[in-house]
Amino acid sequence: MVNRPLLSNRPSWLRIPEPGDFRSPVHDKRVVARLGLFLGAAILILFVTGLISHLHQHPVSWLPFGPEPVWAYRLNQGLHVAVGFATLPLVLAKLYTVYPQFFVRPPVTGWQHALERASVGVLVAATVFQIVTGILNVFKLYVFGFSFTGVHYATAWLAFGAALVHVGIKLPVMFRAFAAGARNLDSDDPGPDRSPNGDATDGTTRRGFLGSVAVATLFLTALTVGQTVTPLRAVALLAPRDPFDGPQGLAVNKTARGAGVEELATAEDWALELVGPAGTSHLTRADLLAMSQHEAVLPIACVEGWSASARWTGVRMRDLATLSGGRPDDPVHVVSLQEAGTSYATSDLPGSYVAHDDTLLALTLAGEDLDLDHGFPARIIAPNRPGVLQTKWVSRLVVGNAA
Amino acid sequence: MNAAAEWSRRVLIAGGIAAMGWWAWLALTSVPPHWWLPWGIWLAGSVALNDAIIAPAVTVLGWLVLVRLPALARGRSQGRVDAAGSGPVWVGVLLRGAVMVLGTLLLVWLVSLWSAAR
Repeated sequence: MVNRPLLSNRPSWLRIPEPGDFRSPVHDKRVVARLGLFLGAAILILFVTGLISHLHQHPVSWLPFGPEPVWAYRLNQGLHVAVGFATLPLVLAKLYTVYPQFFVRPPVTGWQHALERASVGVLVAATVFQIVTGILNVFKLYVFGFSFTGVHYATAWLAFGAALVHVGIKLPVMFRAFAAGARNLDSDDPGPDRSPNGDATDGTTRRGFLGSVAVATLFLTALTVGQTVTPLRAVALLAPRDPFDGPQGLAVNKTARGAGVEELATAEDWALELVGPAGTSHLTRADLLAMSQHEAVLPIACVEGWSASARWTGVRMRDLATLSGGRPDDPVHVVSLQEAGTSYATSDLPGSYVAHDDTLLALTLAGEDLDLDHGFPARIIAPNRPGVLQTKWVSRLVVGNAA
Repeated sequence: MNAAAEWSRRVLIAGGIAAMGWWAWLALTSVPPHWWLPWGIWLAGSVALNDAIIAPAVTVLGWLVLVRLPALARGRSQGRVDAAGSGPVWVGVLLRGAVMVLGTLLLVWLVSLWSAAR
């Protein structure tokens, strides 16, 4: 006989539920602790990969990123988005298992309990917020009323901080939940801080529930990583973008029309303005094509998670730096034809990138002139760099401190 | 808990509070004030979305799919409702897994429809 002293005599559908109304054995600390471990690992991965992506776009002197390894940003962002999607069933499962706690009465029993519940509220809000806004960003649905990048980054600190506090508060419960070991997972013994639940009516086992969550998480990951891992491309149902669907077999995020540069980019009098210690010079596309050309196979790795490698040809950035009177490892400020103040209309190449063999002012893609949407007449392509910083429709390069 | 665990616990809580403090600093210095209101609404909406819609829906659907429908099916075949019976564990694992996968796909599909409509 189950003891449910809090339950009133009214039928459950006529009143606000009470924790005892939820009879499934999965509402148990042993399940919650294990899901919390998986979710905590996912939050840690998301936080670290998100931080790396942020620092690529907003570099700091004390933690510079270099061009090697070439694949690092591609892996980082693919992991960030794939784990983000995989977190969705983990969060739903975790919140489902603890849902009865939402109906605990009285809602607050003291200041410590109040703080604990407040930290859980912050954790739920920040985690769901990050997942929802992240997915909307993947689909380019900017319906928030605020800029995605700045707020998503700030909220990451809130989610990470709330997760740390929550784990700290619940550490004793987690220890007890794990102490019994996996073999005890489906025993009839009550879990820590939980009344006996031998009256489950759906035949569910805790082990089975955790297995379901694992199956769902792995399956959803397989449906996402196809945007980077080519063999799984056909089943990339959760990836809205086919990386190879676009002009010259490569996807485009921002078109020339969208950037408002169609006329300027196709103007016959286009010339690259090269500013350096030796002064300012102008190089036409023919001048650039007459310089030593270098080929590099590098990926476009988008912050939305998709990536694709392509064969680029152009002038090495260090050759241009030298031509301008600078050193081959001077930093370069890149300006595009886009209107000043537009997002990502400019970018900066640190000295380590400029000096790298494969950092190019690219003029061709897959052996053909760059398509207008890929940055014709010239664009930046460099290893280990977010796609948004591979500036297209380049108009001006400023070498060193020449600006 | 031993001393090491208690020490870990304090470090985690202190680290978490520091991270949230950094969030507050970022909110005050890097996020324009006119974004605070929509940001707050989206944060509160995230809790409401889970507690008022997703979790109750999952609870009701779970009861329907895993309790009520199997009970009705057994009742038809056996002439009585025996809700306590259960099939092989792997059936439940796959069924729940499928519900989670399809549920996630449904959510993402709705987002993609929304995106396409704009």
